[in-house]
Amino acid sequence: MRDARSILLVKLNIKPGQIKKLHDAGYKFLEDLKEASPLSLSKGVSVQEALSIIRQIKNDKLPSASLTSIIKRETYAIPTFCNGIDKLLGGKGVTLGKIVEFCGIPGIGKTQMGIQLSINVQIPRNLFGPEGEAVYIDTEGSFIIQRVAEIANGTIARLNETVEGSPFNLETILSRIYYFRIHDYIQLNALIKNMDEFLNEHPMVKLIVIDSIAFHFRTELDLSVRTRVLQMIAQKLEDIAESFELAVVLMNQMTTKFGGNSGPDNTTLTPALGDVLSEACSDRVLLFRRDEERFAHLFKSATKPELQITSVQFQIIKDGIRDCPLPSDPGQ
Amino acid sequence: MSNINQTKSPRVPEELKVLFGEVNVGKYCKRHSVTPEEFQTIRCQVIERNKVLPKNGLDMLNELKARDSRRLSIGYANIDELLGGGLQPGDITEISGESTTGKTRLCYSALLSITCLNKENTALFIDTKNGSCANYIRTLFLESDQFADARERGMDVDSISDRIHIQKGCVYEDDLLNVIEDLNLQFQQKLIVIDSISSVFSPLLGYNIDHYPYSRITIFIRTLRNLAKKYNITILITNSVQYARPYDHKSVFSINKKPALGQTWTYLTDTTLFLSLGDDSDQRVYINRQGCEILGVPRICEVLRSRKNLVVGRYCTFYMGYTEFFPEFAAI
Repeated sequence: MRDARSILLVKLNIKPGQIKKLHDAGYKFLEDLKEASPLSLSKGVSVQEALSIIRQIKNDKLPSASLTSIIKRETYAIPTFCNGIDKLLGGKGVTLGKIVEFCGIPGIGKTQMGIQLSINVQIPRNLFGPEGEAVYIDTEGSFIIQRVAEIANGTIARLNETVEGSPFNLETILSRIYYFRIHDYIQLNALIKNMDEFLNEHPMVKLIVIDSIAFHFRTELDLSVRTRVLQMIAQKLEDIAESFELAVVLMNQMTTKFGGNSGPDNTTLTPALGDVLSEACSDRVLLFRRDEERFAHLFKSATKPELQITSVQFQIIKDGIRDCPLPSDPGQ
Repeated sequence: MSNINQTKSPRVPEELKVLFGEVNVGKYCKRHSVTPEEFQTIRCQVIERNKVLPKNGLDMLNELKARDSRRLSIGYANIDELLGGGLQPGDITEISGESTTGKTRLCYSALLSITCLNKENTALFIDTKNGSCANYIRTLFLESDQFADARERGMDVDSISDRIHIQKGCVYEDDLLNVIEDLNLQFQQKLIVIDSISSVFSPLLGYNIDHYPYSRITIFIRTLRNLAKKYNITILITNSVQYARPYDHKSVFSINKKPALGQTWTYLTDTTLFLSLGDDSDQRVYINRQGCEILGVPRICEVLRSRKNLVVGRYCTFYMGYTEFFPEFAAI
C-alpha cells in the first residue's frame, strides 16, 4: 500500500547520528538502502548497527520508534504568517504529516488560508521553510488566480524584508501549485485514491489543500454512504500524510445543530460532516468573527490541548494572512 | 525416542499439516530423511504439543483471585474503580466516545502509568490516525500530579521515553496484522494500545456490503487475544461512535450515539467504557502540585458493557484539563 521509494530513512529506528552519516553517504530513502550490503554500510557505521539497519529494511515494515527517537526527528512546519495561529497549530505552523481542519462561516477566510499555505509551503530551506510544492483541490471554484498572484507578491515582499536576494519569484511560486478542480464526490474519491501515483511523480509536494471537503457531501447523499465515503477518504489521506510526509489541510463548512447539551430548542453552529472528519483530523481550528474582527479558536489538538481555551486574532489584508498589529486580549 | 525430541521442530505451517494429516507421508519422509515410524512419533509429539489440558474448577477460582491482584491502573483512580480495580492483563478493554472526549488522553495516561511502575515495563502505542504527539506524553509525565509520586521515586523521563514505543503508519488492516504478528518476536510489552480501531475498520463496513469485513475484524481480535492471553499483555483499544436510533441507545448520557463498528464488535471486547461530553460551559479550575492553574472541561465515563462481572451503568464524572484529571470536589 505504501511506496518504498518514498519512505525516508528518518522513519526507521536508527540513531540520529547514524542517520546523518547515512545521509552524507548519499542514502536518503529506503530504496537506496535495499541495494546496500552490510560491508558497504559499515564503512560509516559499526558492523552491528549496519546489520540491524539492514534487518529492519528487509522486513519491509517500519518498526515502532521509541518516544526518544521520535522527538529527535526534525519536523518541518508550514507557517501561516500569523504567529498566533502558528502557535495554536503546534508552534511553527501546520506540521508535516498531520491532518488539520479549518472550519468557519462563508467569507471568514478559509480559502485565503488555503492559498496562503499553498504559497508558504514553497518557502526555501535557507529561510527556514519546507521548500515544497502544493496540491490544491478545489471543489467550490473559489480559487481565483489573481488573488493568488496578489498574495504571492505579498509573500515575496515580506520575505525580502527578512533576507536579501531570495530566488523566490512569482513564476516559480505559481508553477509549483498543482490545481485540481473537482465537480462531485466521486471525482474527489477517485483523485484521492490515485494520489499515490501523482505524488510519486512529484516527490516535492508537501501540502494538500482540499477546499472544501464538505461541499459535495451536503447534497442528497444517504447518511451511511456519506459516512463511509468520508471514512475511506480520511483513511487514504492519513496514509498519504504519513508515507509521503506532507500536511493535509481540509476546509470545512458550518451547519446548525439542534438540541445538544443546552436543551432541545437551542441551536448551535457546528462544523459540518459530523464526527467522521473530527476523528481523522489531529487539529481543528474554528475561524469566526466577533465585533468585525476575525478570530481563530482551536477546538481539537493533538499537541497543544492547553491552547484549546484561547482564541487568537488575525487579519486578512491585500498581501495575505497576517497577525493583528494591535495587542488583543485572548477571549473564549 | 529421545533423538526425535532433538530433531529440529517443524515450522508452524508444516506442523499444522502434520496434525491434520495433510502431509504426503512418503514425500515428507524422503525430504526430512525420517522413517515412517519416526513420522508417527513426530505426529504424536505434534499432537501433544498442541493439545489443551483441562483445568479443574478450584484451580480456576484460585487463578481468578491471583489475577485480580495483578490489575494495572489506568492512571486515574475513579476510572480504575469502574474497571473493578484497574485494567486486567489478558483482557481487551475498549474506550469509546465522540471526538475530543479524552480517549487518546486516557490511553497516554495508561501508557505512563504502566511504564512508571518499574524500570522494565514497556508499552506499545499503535497509532492508526497519526494523531499522537510524543512531546505531549513527555510533558504529561513531567507536569502531571498523576505521576508526581513516580517523579519523586526517581523515575526519569528519558527512561520512560525509551520504553514507550509508538508505531505510526498503521492505517490499513494488513499493517495492523503485520504489527501484531511481529510482536511474537519482539520484546514483551506489558500494554498495547490501539488508537483507534474504528479508523481502520469502519471504511470496510457498510450497510449494503456483505459480511466479509466482519470476519476480518473477528480474526484480528482473535489473534490479538491469543497473544494477550499467552504473554499476559493488557490491551486497550479506542473506538469512535456511530449514530444510534433513539430507542436503541445504551448510554444514559449520549442520546444518539453508540460505539462504532456495529453489533459484531460488541462480542469481541471484554469491557467497554463510554466517554461523553459534559456541559462545556461548566469549566473548573484546579491547582496542581506544581502550582499551575489547570482549566478543566467536564466529562462522563460510564461502563457501557462488560463480560467480566463489572456493574454496567456505573459512571463517574470528572474534569479533564491539560495535564490533569480531577473530580469536582478538587476544583477550586
